[in-house]
Amino acid sequence: MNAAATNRPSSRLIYVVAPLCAAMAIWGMIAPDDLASTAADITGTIFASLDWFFMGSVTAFLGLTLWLGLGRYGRLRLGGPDERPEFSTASWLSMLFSAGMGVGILFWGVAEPMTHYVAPPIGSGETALAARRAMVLTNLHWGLHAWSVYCIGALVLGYFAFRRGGRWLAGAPLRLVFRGRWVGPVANLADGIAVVAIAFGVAGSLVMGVMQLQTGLNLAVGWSADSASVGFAILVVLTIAYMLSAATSLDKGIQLLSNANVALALLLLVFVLFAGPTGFLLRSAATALGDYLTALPGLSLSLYPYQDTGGWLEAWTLTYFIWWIAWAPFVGIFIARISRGRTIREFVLGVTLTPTLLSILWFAVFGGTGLHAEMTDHPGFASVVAEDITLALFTLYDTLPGSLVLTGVSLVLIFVFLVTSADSATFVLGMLSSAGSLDPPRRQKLGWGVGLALMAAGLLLSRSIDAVRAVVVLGAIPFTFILILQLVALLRVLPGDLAQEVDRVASGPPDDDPPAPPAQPTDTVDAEVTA
Amino acid sequence: MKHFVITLLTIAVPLLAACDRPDAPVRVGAKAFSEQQILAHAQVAILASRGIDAEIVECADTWACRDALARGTIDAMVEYTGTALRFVGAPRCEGDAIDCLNGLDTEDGWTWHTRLGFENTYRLFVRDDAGAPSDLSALATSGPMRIACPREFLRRPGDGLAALERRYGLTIDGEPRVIDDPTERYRALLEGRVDVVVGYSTDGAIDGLPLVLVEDDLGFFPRYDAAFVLRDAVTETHPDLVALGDTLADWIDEPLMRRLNYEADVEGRDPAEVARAALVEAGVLDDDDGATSGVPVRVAVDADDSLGSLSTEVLRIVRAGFIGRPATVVEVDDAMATVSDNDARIALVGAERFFVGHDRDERLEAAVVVGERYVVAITRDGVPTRTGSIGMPPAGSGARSIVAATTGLADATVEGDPASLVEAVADGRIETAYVVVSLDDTDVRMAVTEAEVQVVAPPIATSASLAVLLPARVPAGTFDGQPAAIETRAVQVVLAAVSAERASREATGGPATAMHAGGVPLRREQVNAMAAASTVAEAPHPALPSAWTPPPTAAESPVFTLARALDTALNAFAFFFLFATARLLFARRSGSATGTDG
Repeated sequence: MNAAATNRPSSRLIYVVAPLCAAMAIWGMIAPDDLASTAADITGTIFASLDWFFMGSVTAFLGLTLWLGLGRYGRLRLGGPDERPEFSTASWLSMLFSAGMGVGILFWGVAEPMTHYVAPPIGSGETALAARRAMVLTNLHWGLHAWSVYCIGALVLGYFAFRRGGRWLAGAPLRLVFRGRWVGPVANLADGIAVVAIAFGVAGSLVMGVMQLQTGLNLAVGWSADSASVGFAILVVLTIAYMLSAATSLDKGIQLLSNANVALALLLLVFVLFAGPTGFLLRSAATALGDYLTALPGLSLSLYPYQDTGGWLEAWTLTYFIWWIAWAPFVGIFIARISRGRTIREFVLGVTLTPTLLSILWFAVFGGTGLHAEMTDHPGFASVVAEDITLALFTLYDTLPGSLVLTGVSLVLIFVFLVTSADSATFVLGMLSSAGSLDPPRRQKLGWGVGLALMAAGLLLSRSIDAVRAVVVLGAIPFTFILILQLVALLRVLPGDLAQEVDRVASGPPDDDPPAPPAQPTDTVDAEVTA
Repeated sequence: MKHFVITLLTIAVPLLAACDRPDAPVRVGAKAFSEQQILAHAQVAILASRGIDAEIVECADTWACRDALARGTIDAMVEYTGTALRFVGAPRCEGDAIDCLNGLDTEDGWTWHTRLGFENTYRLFVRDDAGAPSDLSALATSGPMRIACPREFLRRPGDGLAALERRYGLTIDGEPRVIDDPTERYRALLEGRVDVVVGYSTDGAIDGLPLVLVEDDLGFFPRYDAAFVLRDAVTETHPDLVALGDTLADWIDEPLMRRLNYEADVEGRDPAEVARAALVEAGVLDDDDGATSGVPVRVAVDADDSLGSLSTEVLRIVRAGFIGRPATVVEVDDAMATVSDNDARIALVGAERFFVGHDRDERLEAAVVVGERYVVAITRDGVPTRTGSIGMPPAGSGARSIVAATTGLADATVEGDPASLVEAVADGRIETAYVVVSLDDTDVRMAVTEAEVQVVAPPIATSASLAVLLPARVPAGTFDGQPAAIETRAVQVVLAAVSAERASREATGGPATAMHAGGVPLRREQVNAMAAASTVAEAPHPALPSAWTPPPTAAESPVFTLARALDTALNAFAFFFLFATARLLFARRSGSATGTDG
């Protein structure tokens, strides 16, 4: 068999993916309910049958991430042995936090703990115990698991790209490591699924953000919360902003925006912390951290086989986990791109632990303020949240001083988070459609920018967020299998690379080596494995 | 009677015992309408913020309140200057009314203090038609008129209806209709059931309605400035109370009072909450204690279902299930679909809506019974006809399907709401009208009284096609012109919402469905609280879907189904995948012997 033939990514990828995107978008526009229910039936069946598999996979990602970071492979670098990080650590952390969570954390900060407090999967709602468990469940969904999924996605791509000259495609690690007739089609499939997942994921996220902005503007300045024209106006402004950002190139544009935004978010966090019941919030943060660490091993694999939770696990935990997987190709490429020159240890600790700690604090402050309001002097808050999640954050602000300013700041945050997400997305999609180039032509980026805006406009027109979500999840389920294959590919090459690194250090001073080799031809890295 | 005595004792005994001690709570009087409730709650809230214990004592009307002040069972209230002057015989008063009153009333043991800043006078309104009279003199020349007014206006000394008739020479057509609820009163005018209404200048309901104010061109009504009245004994034990009046001097003008009344009467918000919000707005109270979330719970009602008379009652019930939230009723085309789409939390529907009319969302279920509607026949001669000209509720309404199912009749000559059908019978346009009415619907009862028609039992079809019809009896004399008890059919009016059980089975929770148009279920505690607040102590009809009553046991599922096969296949695939992956991971590498590139 000719190895080169199997290793070439299909150039016809775009001709399969683009019509598929268009078909899904049109189906979603014409019959959003139909699309949503079909997709929900499929994902529902798969979740119900294979919940153990998805839960186990994500937990395994977490275990392997920590093992990679803390174990002997931690010294290997994403890049040549002498490369050093491109971005400062603080800037790097804020960029990855804003790319990975961004809008979601504003959206769910108040709402999610409140929802689990009212309707926990087991036990009765609206008790002190339910409040405590609500924090643990929220952290389970937004904590280490989420970031370890991103971490694996980013690590695999970054490692192969920076050390072995792999293309920036989801199928690249498979092509580099495995041999066999199955590799070509599976790798092409991986590339395709990644593009679909990114395009739909980002378009859906844009629409969700536009809706939240609309709710916020309705509360702040009284613009209609339902009118499509207000929604379109917001989308147009948003599009102009991220296109401008994309045109000024990744480094300047995103870095500036991310840093500013994370600083603003931290400011908001600090303000709510001190304007709210400060002691209560800090106690709840400490308790949440302790409870989370204690409950983590059990909850990580908890599938409630003996209780009837009415599909709670599928609706919440598995949906979150599959979302993180859906976003992994996008966020993964982005995180990898900004992490060149870091060791695996730095990378793993930076990508998993820091954001997790920050999100625990975030949920403790925002969720805690909400719970405090509901449990003490503002009953009725929980039922407002149950009816309209987009109201949660803004309703909470009503209980704090300066609510109008807080609302304004949050709207700015949401806006900028959306701009940075969309900006990165145009970059990543441009890269994928220019055969994995790390510096995609501006024309490609702007083309994808317009494409994303049009898809978002279509979804906004249908006003059904369900349709796009269902498709995102549908794309992410097969991607789980691909992520596992990628991880196996990584694990196969690590021992050899470590041995090489040890030899190199033993054989002489580093300045003898050529700087940052974009790696050898990879055909000989691994021998044929017949599956 | 016994009950009444016990109530009296429970109120009177502690009051007498606690009277005038400094640590006794200050009792704030409130007449039975929203403005008085709001103002009383405002006084209590301010006193509470200053550490003074206070409570509200209801006194039904001006007579009861004056009596209570005189006997010392209330200590403070808001009264209107014009009202008080009339009650003491309208002495000629030069200069300030409050000075006059304080000059007169000293022997009664109370004193008038600061004005609040608004006047609540009587106002007469007509519909905004061409040629509507602009003042009362013009109105008097336009012939006999049908009039609606609050109860108190009938018997007020000197400034009531009789005096007004004399002053302007008005001719009233028939008996004046007494409608205390302001919203209902203006509706009667707009729907043409009366020609003139007497309202208050601060009625919240009047903003935005097509009404014309009829000027009091002869100056019949005096000024009715709202002001604090304090019992002298209590100002001795609580000198701060005078300061309370000063705090609130001129804080509230007429538009503001109208808006607050609107919030209470039309939006159905709790008067205590309205008062608190207004005080926060005025800067009298701090924002952060006890304010509740302002997002109302929406209750949807079909615009053509004529359930509007239940609104106030329903809002009260809903508030019991949503502590800390205001509630509001919205009229829509399809109440149940509105709830399915999450545009309202609760639908107010007749039970028949679960079986006829719009396509029903399977997840919607009956939660609480809030009323019952009865099928009756309206005739001139007491003999309902099955043929000839017949009036029925509008096609497509729930009421129409009830009438059709009860009587077996399909076609109607005239369609309309119950009150208009009663008129059609009286006019002779139709022989018989079949209507579906709630027994406390004052519109219909009044229309029946006025039209002098007979209310009798409808013919009942032998095979009723609607599962929710209940055999029922309307006692004789319920309606004027009802010769005998009526054996008929009734249908429950229920609050419907998304069922918790069914919703969770379809996994409506979860982040994916957060912005989902699937409706939010009620929790069991909310349903129980609302059921307790409802005056109809009944469970939903057994034919109605309701997860809040025990669900039927599920049928035994067959051992082997397609779903089971799929499940097994998926799991087999996952196993195969893991096995293959493990082989990939642990396969020996054939090139490792060279060790150069590996």
